[in-house]
Amino acid sequence: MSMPVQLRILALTATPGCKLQLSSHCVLKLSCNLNAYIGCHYSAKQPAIQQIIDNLYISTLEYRNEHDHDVSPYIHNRKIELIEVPLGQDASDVNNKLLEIIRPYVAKLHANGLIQNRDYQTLSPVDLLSSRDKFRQAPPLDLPHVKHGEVEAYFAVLITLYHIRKLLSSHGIRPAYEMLEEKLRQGPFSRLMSKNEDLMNAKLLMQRSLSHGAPSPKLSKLLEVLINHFQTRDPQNSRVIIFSNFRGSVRDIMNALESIRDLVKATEFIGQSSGKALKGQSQKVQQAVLEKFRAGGYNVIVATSIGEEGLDIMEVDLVICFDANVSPLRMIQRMGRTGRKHDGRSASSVMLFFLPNLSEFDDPWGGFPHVGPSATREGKFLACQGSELKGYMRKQASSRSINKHMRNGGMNSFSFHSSPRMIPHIFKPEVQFVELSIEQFVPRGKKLKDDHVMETPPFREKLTLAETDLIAKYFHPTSESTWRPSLIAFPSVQAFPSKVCKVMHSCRTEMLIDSMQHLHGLTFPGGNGNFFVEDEVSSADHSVAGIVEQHDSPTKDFPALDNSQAANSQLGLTNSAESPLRTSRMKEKHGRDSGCGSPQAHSFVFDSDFVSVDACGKVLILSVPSLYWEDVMHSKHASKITNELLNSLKQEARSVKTLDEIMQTEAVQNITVCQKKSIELDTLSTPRFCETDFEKERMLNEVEKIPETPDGTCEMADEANIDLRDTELSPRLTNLIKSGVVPESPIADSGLLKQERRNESFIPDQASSPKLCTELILRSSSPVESDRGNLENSSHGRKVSIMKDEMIPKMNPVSSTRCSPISPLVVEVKSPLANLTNSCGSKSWHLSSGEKAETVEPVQVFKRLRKVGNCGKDRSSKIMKKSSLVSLANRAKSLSGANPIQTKSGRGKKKPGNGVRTFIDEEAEVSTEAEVSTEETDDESDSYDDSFIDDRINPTAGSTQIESGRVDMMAVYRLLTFSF
Amino acid sequence: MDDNEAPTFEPDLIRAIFKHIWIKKAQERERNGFPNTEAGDSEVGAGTSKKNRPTSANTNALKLSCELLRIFITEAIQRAGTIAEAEGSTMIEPTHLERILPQLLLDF
Repeated sequence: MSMPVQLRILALTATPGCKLQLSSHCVLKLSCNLNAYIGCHYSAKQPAIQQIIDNLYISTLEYRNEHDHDVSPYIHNRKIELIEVPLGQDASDVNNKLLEIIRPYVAKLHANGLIQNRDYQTLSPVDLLSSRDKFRQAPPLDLPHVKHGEVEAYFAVLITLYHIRKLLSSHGIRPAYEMLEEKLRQGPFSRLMSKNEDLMNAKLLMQRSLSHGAPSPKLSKLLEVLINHFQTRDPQNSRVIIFSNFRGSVRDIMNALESIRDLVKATEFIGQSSGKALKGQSQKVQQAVLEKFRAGGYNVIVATSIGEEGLDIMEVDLVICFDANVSPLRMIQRMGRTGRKHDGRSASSVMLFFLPNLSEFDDPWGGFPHVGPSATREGKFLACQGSELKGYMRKQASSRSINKHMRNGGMNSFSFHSSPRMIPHIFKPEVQFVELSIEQFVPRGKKLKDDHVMETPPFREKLTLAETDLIAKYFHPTSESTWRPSLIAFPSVQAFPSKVCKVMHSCRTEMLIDSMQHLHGLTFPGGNGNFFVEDEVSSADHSVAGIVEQHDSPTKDFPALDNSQAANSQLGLTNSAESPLRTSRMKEKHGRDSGCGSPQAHSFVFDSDFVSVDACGKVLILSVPSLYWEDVMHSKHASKITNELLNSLKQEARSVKTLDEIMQTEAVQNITVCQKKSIELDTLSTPRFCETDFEKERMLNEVEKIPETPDGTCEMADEANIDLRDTELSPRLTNLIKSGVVPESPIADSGLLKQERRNESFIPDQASSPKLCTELILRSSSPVESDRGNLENSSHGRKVSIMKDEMIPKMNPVSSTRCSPISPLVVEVKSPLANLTNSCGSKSWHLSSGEKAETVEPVQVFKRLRKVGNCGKDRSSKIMKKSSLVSLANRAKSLSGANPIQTKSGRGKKKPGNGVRTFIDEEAEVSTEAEVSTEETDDESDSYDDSFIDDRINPTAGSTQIESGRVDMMAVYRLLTFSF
Repeated sequence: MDDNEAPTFEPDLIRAIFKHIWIKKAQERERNGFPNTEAGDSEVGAGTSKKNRPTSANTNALKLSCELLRIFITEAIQRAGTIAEAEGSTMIEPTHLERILPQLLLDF
């Protein structure tokens, strides 16, 4: 070409087709690994290609074969091996027989000029077919019309016979025999040939040969090739495709492969159409076969022509063409199945040809230089020289002749069209090298469901940021574990019916509540009701002691409230007008406290309970401080467990405040001060000291309880209020004694000394101290406190002395400032006390019995619990106890009920002891602060002392006791839950 | 109580939730179905065709379910709300729910 012309590549085709199948073979092949070789072999005839050129107005034709320099780098070398297989004596005999049969017919046709004069041995069915077509289109004029049918019959017979012969030569005796059988069964062939002796002989020969069981030589050779192949290659990674033109031979091959099943996992791969003998494979089966073949489930497939095109299986490194006498196009495609990944050394095509034992061809390689042993492709065709190899060679020759035409772009052979440029001249196509790579082959599978498409649900848009945060807090979109509400988080709460809105509690709920109460040891004694009626306060105490939520329950709440209220009212009556002021103050304080406490309560899971209780308890102002105490207790417990020191500190601070309040409420502010001091002392002392203090305090509490009973009796007997007072004071004193008892431990000595000094001053003031001593003795004698009793007994003497000593310190502050208030207090106390004492008395009795019933262990446990970190609580509780002994008894009862639980909790608490100590230290600091506050409160209390304080003490004590009892229970529950 | 006027759940929503659960359960049953042949047999006896058919609820049942759920939810909120109020907080926290949950569940 003189000037370069822009070309438009229309198509790339591997096999531009033979005569009739142009379009179907114009395959655009752009295989990724470029192993498609372009137009290497053409079987197309010159006119066919010219036809394409004309139809498509092709202006240029580029031709490359695998030897061209711009193609060869992309072509994997392939070893083509021709293996000649001797046909075998039987087969050649049969062949001869068939030829004998054929010869007369050919001669007859030849005589009529219908067949070219050729060697009848070389004729093929195709030749006969074309001849017959020619005959049909233009029958020879000299042939009479009547003879036409005869000629047709001859043609039919010859075609069949040649076909059989072809089968025989390419596939062996069995397919040939089967075809012969089939043809003889019906149709014109059987009519004509059933009496032919030669044919019968040939058939007999074939039958005999088959009955021998001797395998077809091609099959045995095939097995040999396969075994060789799989010996050198890994059977797992290597794949082999065996092509055969007929399904019959496919089946034979499959049968033959059965013998080497351990090495070869073979399956057939055939078309869909179902014939008479063999059923076709549906597309589904075909896909499954290929899938398994790819995956390695099979390493050999035996395919008909269906497998010749389009299979892209990288691992195939051997293709065996069981019959090679097919069109070169198909041979090219067959061989294209291999060498797709590996280099040529590993890929090979083997063609099996029958080698005729009759030397019909002098030079089988004649005219086919590239196929010969010296060929570049190392052709090692073991081909049968018979009709099969002959046909193959002929087809190769024709393709080569086409090649010649195609050289130089076919300029010489074809006439091209000067097509105008189709792309507008504005556009100048540039050459770009773009690598099109497929990172990962994704087989087209089932449609993926779109479940994974997570759209943000529309409701999200309506939520505020805080709300979404809240949702995210409990429902993580990513993590599987979403928050689930716990059903066992608040077992104590479940002991009481919760408030309902519209839906009332069911019987099952009531059963749950009952059982929970049982579990918590909250069952009320049989005489409970009686007590309730008689002593409202006591019942209230009872209820409060165990039941936190009874406040919520309307039935129980009201009596309790009534009691307390009644007490309040009584107090109020007795009290001067100052009482409301106090209450208001208390409320205020309470409000503050609650405000302070609520956040902390939030911090603890369980605190909220108490908070709620507070809310419920708001009705009773008196109860408020106690509630705080409870809170404090709770928080302390929790803190101990969680080691949250800070919280505890805060709470302690509160507790101090509450203490202050209590102080205020109590007329005996002095005493409280003293107590505080003692507490301070305790706190100052080592944690051990505190613990011992607590134990002692408990002891004292118990002791106090007992004294109360006498108090009650005294009151009942209208004994002097002073006595009561004394008794009241005495518990305080006992508390002091506790602190005094502490001194027994060497550490506390310093504190003791101080206390003793104070006590000395106190003792003279109170003549009741001996009573206390007696009471103490009584306590010690009581079976309930066996352990302690012993301790007390042993330490009685000391205690008494200590008592005295302790009395003194109390008196120092008290006497100095408030000796006078005490007396008025006593007076005032009388009336309320009478009421209270009645109730208290009953309670105390009740309690005392309960205490007796109680085992020693619970008490100890309790001590432990308190030891852990309740120093502040204990102190507060001490105060409470002093004021009201009954509460202690209640506590003890509740404790006794929860004995096992307590023991558990006790164990749990022991561990955190270290933390507790630190707590205590901190508490000590707080307490110092508290002192200041107490002083302030003292001032206030001073003013109130006259009418008020005493009255209050009792009710507050009751309420506080109750609440403190609750607190203990709650603590126990918490411990339980934690231990869970 | 004007239940008709009170805002309630969309039946479609409830149906969707139910279906979700049913499908889940069915899958679980299929997974565990082989060991317990009794249940499997009974189901098969009911008809293999039925097995594939998804569970459904008729309109009235859905309405009833909506109402039940509405009452349940409102009651839960009310109860938890009282707890929260008693605690002094303005927001119902999970702990509030946990406190009333056991009894609530038993009440329904």
